[in-house]
Amino acid sequence: MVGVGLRHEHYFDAINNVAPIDFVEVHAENFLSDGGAPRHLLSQARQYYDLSIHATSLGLGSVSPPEPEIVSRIADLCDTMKPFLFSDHACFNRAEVHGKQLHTGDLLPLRFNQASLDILCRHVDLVQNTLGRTLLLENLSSYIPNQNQHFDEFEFLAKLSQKTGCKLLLDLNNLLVNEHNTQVMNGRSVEVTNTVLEKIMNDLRYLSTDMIGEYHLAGTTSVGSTELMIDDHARPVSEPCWSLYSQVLNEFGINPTLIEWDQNLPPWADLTALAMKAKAIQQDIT
Amino acid sequence: MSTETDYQSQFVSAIFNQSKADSVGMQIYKNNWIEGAHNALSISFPTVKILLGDANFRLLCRFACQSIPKKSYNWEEWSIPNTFVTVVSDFLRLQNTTGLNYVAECAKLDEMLFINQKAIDPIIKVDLLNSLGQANPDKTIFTVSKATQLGTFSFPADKVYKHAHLNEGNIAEIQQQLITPSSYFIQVSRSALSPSGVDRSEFRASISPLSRQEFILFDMVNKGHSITSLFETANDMNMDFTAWLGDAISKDVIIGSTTI
Repeated sequence: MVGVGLRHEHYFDAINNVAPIDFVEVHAENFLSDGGAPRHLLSQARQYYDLSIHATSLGLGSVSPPEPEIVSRIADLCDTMKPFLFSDHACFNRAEVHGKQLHTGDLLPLRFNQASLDILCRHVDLVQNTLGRTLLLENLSSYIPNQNQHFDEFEFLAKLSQKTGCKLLLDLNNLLVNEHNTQVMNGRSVEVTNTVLEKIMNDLRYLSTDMIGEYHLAGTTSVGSTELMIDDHARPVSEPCWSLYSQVLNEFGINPTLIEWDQNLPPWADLTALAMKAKAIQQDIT
Repeated sequence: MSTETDYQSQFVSAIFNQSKADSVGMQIYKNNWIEGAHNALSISFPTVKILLGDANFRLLCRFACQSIPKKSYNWEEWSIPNTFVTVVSDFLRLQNTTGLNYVAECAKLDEMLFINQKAIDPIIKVDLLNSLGQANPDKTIFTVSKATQLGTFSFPADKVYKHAHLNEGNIAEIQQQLITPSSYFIQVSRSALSPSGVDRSEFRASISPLSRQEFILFDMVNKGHSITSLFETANDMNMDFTAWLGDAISKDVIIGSTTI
């Protein structure tokens, strides 16, 4: 299956020019209000495409449990729209500072240690039990050096999947962004070469086929070899990302694959053409 | 070694701190924080953005992030009545701006529109309205759609709103619209959804100026006054109660009735 992120600029195109893709992915937070146009339009789109709901604000790695209101609203959205996938990120997003809860509205990197894993597992269990469905957790892009890690990132995520039964949403662009940024933060300039892709594939060695539930593909604005790369989803899927996709499909098998594009959106037809390219690569693998 | 509580608290604190001695990575997280606010507030307060221009609006977003830090997942917490309007007023005062008070007033209108757009869709309760003929008017109140709101402005905010969106950035032209009566009543309402087709206009709220008499009647409905009380007040004001009610029903403002 292949799909694209459905953003509001494309709502009417998606309904009026139905594309030969399998599914669309929407951000949960845009559809949590009681009424209005978004839910109505999503219901219309739902007639033509399967649906994946991607949340960005549960912050399941935060020390405090997820806010009951958002879990309840997401449960209502899932009950109504019946997505075949529901996902969020392996991250935290809020903390108590000087006695007050502050929410950043962002996806902040966890430390990969046992305490962090225990918190994340507890909150994933809570959400899975409330929603009555398997959750997919996405690997993050990060802009700071890893601190006090006991596990490698994918060792941590594999343990999460083993303990909770959740699946992983493998974002291949985030892997490339992180590899670039790690090299830059270590004072090395970067070029994406086969060696980089081999290193990423080696990083994924902790995962097994049954742990992965979806792939995300994206592109980012290019930067100099000594600058940090920001995961802005503002460009077509990069060539290294396509290469990595082929390798990952060979290693872990075919899973629903989404083209993520959030800024400087292309025309609907160009966006969906990228999904069809992903489908062609899937067919080559089989 | 620090606990996860310490790590997360220090990370979030660093984002909210105004220190300039950050790593490039931390600057990215700080920038994301402001951009998140900018994106959310651009959607909920588009007229304020037009009136201030993008650069000043970004400063306003930064000021809002510092003065009313977000506490929950929901960016809409800044649309709680008067929250952001107060921030806009404080921002303008600190910037030593003069003659821009109408920006805060337009923030109030943006806020009404945003709340309206997110409100539950009005569905006419046909049976309840049909039974009005048999209802005891002393013990019956009307139900107003949650997608309807009333506001009082010191200028014709509906005209300023339309003008701002048609002539983005032309503040001089907009100011021409501000020579007005001191109390201007507005109703923001969104009609029921049509079950067929997709028509963007069906979801768009309309901004209607109200007469003082109409405002009084709607305000009484909101406060739960009985039909008898509304009828008597309309008579006292020499208003045609039936015509007013028919108009309110046809526009999906009054959507039902309840016996108390």
